[in-house]
Amino acid sequence: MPVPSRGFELDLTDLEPVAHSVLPDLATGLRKSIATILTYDSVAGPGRFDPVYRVEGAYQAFADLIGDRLAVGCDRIDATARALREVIALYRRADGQG
Amino acid sequence: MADWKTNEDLALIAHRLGTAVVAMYEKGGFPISVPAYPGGAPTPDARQTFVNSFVEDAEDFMSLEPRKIYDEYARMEQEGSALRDLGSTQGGALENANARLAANWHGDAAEAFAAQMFHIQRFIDQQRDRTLQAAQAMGTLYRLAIEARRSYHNLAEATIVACEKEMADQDDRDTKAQVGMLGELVKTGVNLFDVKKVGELVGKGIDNFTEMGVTMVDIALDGSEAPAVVESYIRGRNELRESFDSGLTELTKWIKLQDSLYREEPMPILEPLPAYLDISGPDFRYDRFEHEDRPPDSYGPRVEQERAEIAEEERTAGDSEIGRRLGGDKGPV
Repeated sequence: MPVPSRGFELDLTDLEPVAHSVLPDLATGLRKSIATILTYDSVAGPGRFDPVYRVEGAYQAFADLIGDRLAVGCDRIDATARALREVIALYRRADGQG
Repeated sequence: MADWKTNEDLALIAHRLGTAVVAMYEKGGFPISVPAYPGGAPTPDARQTFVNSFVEDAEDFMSLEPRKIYDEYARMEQEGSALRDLGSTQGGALENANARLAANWHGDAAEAFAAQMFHIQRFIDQQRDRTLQAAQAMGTLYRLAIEARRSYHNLAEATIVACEKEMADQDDRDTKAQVGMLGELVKTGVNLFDVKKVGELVGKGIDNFTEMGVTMVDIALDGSEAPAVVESYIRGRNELRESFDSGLTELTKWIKLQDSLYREEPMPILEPLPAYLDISGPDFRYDRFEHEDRPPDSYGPRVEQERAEIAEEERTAGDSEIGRRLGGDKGPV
């Protein structure tokens, strides 16, 4: 959907919520899932059937990958928010508002 | 949550089975002799050792704990559901930001920021789907554990009946054990949802797995004499073990496949940000993130001047006492 320009200052203002709340809140929300995804309690019972250990190993590696990627993704979202905040602040200063 | 045969249920039925087999052997006049170790002298407590060997058989089918699998399933379903909710509540804001950046700001940094909004949205969807796939693996394993337990219980129960039948010559009792085809069960579980539809797992939850159809086969436990009954039990137990093994192997293969597909999936969000998005780096320039109201010729130099001042402020702050301490310099000790 086309978004008509409201002029430099207002277009800059429109980016502020993304940099200051949407992205940081998103990273915070996503981070809440990391610890749970990375925590694995063995599902084995008292028996010792070898193929059970193989399925557990594969599952744990998969869950670790999901959790590790989530952590990296959160760092990137924070970095994006920070970079955008700095651009907004820079342009405000260049406009004599900083 | 479904019902399942507990460890105690399996141990008890296996003990009953061992006891029934001993009684059948003794009634038929077959001596029970069990070596203390392979090739060794007979153990003095042959009966107990014999009964224990049936309990050991049962333990293979206790190798998965349904309660623990259910807990793991529930944790993953909950996190997948949280990611889904986060994606739907923030999706609109990200789309909006993408549209604003793309429409009103120009240059490769503006494009990279706009693309980043899209990548973040896609990333949340990917994480949701892979987390729910982990739940799908646990849902399938849960049902597999329950069916493996039930199947062994059925096998032991039918073998007990076969023993009683052999001893009392009762022809009217059913000596067939219904056991699940566990490899097929896993194929059904992992095919319930493909990765594009795994979001549908949420809602019906674990019932997706407890309600799915499982093909059962009959294992006949007939035998005209005591050793033949035990032989048919051993054949049935081996078939069930193979079936359990095949279910677990099938699931391991599926998880590894999803793992490798996930690793190959493009995820631009995981890449470091381009250096030209960083205002303190040498690659940032106004014309890489410009607005049509502020032409680069006139506004670019002002931005450069402010960048230089910011850099100077940061350098000065870094040289100050506080800056040195923040930078890790503890000062004179």
